[in-house]
Amino acid sequence: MDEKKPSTSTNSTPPNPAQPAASQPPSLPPPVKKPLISRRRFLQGAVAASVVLAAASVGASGQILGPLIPESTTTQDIIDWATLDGQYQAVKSKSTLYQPINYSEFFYFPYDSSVSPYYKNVIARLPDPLVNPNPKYSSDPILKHVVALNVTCVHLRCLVNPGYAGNPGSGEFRLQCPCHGSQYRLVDGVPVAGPAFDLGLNPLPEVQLSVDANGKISAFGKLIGEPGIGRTQ
Amino acid sequence: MGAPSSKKKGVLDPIIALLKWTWERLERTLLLGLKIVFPSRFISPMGFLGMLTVIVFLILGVTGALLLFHFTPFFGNCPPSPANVTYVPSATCNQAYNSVQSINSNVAWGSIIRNIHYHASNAMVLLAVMHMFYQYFGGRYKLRYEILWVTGIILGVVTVIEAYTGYDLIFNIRGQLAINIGQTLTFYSPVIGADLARIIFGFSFNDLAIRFYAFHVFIIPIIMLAIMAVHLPRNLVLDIPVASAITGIILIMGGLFPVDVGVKYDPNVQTQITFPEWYFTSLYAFIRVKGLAPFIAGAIIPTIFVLIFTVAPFFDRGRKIAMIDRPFWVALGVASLGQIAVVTVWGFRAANPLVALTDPGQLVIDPTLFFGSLLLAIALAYGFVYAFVRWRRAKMDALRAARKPIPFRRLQPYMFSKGEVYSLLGGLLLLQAFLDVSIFRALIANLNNFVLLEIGMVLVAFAAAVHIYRISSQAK
Repeated sequence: MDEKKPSTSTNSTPPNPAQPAASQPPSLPPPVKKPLISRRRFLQGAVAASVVLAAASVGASGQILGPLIPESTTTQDIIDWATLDGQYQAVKSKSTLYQPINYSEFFYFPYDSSVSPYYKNVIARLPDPLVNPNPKYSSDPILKHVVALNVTCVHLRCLVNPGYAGNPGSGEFRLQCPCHGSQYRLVDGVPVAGPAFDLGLNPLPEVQLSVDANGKISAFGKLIGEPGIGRTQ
Repeated sequence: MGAPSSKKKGVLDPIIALLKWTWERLERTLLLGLKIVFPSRFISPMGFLGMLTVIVFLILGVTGALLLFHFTPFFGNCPPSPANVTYVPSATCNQAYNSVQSINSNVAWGSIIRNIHYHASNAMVLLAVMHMFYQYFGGRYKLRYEILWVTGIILGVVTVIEAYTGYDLIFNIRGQLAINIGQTLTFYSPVIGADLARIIFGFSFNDLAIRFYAFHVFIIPIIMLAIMAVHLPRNLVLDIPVASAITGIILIMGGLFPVDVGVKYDPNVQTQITFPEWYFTSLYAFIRVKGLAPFIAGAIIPTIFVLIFTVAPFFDRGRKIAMIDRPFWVALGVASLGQIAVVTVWGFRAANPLVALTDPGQLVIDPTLFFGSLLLAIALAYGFVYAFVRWRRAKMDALRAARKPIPFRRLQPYMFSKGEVYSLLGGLLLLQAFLDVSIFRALIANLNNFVLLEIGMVLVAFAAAVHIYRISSQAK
């Protein structure tokens, strides 16, 4: 439809009588040079491109939707090894041994408690036969007996608790989510029961620890894993 | 409109002239373009459930605006206690919840307004769903109503999202559970999940509070108004008595079942088991099914459900709208209602009702039992309704073939006599006067629920009075 108009207008131009082509029979019109693009198409395309460019100029303004990310702490003192170990030694031979909440401590890292509950972590003294199998961040002899995990459940983000009254005497120490009952191994945060286990989700993120000469344990760097994210896409 | 010119000059003449002048000039505005019918007799409210939803939306707007004056959209800081010290929540911990609690217990009329806001939100979701199903069974997505239908579905979904952002703002453990689940589902959305979650929920909990506040108070209502501009049909029915009665019922519900603030969310206190609002327990049931990934359960399945309704007009192509001519679609509608009922009940239910909720595994639903009951409900509802509609149609066809009249019941409205009208209206006025006095007494005694109940009763009495007026003014 658009192509018709320009072609009729070029057809109507009278042939130049001065040229020898005039002697040819009128049934053969002079070869029409078809324009590459019609005038209307060109204008439409130009306006469309202009619309796209105008929209693109403000496209990056969508960044205002993003939240302001606060600055994270790089290192933070948590607790003395002596205190943590003392809590453990106090309940070592009692029935409350299977409540790891008795020898653990909550702390917020790498963002403090004013930011988000999802950065709440727990540090626990591992009950004795257990050792942190492979602290990815250190091989210190003290840190073998300590684990620090983020407590945001990777199932649906409730805050899990160190404390599992499941099978005392079984040698199993777990963290349990109060919402839907996901259970994680205390040693490494791997899900062992409940929805997080059924769905085969990631372990709880681990906090990297270091210990100084006085036995002061501190957290540093980033969490190994994302809080509340149970599945890497 | 204006007074006849033959009448004597009265004191009200200048006022009437002013009204007439204003009315004539209003014709230049958009206002009189809306055709609003005030029915002069009782018609079934099922036909104008949409208008009732709009009225409840307005109630929510007014009460919500009043609540704005007292709500603090800020989470604050909940520092944990140092080792070996009993935890004492900081004063700045969960200020949003604290402000809602203050509205409920300290602010004058606070609990009344919040109760109305809460029960109106339930009523709006309920009315919107009823409106949808009534139009669905009536085949009202045909006859060039397709755009109204699709925008209606979108409006319904947005209404539920608005309700979701609302109850999260309280920051009790129920709101917190909803926030946690919403954030998980958003994070698991493909490709844009993490960015989308950051945009909707922010990074910190203070971001979350202010963002949900913006969504709930401004952004989503504006979106709803924009969709409403397309969704509202040109002819509207505004039935004053029914609208007043619905408002009254919402207030009465508020008085009888006052909403509490719930358990405060504090990240340093172990959370308790809680269930979502009733319109979300169906989704919650799916999310709790063992082994079903949260994104499939909470996002994909409901999307499929909504999509089936959205595309109904493009597959139900017949010209007939009567239920008896659409056995498949009627059966499908009933089956989906059955499904909603079964899933909603599952949502409130624990695995074993005889064991404490806190036992591990109590909230995990067995997939065989869950999907089995679901399929059974769908199959039974679908089969029975389909068979029933076909049987009805066969019977009608047989009657028609035998040239017998099709039985049709017509209810003759009951007409009051003059004496009855006088005594009824007099009684209603007396009741209203008594309630008004009682409201003041209850206010002085600080009986807020009683106040709410009685205001609701006054509104219902008003509805009855107007209804008696309109049916009796037509009688000779």
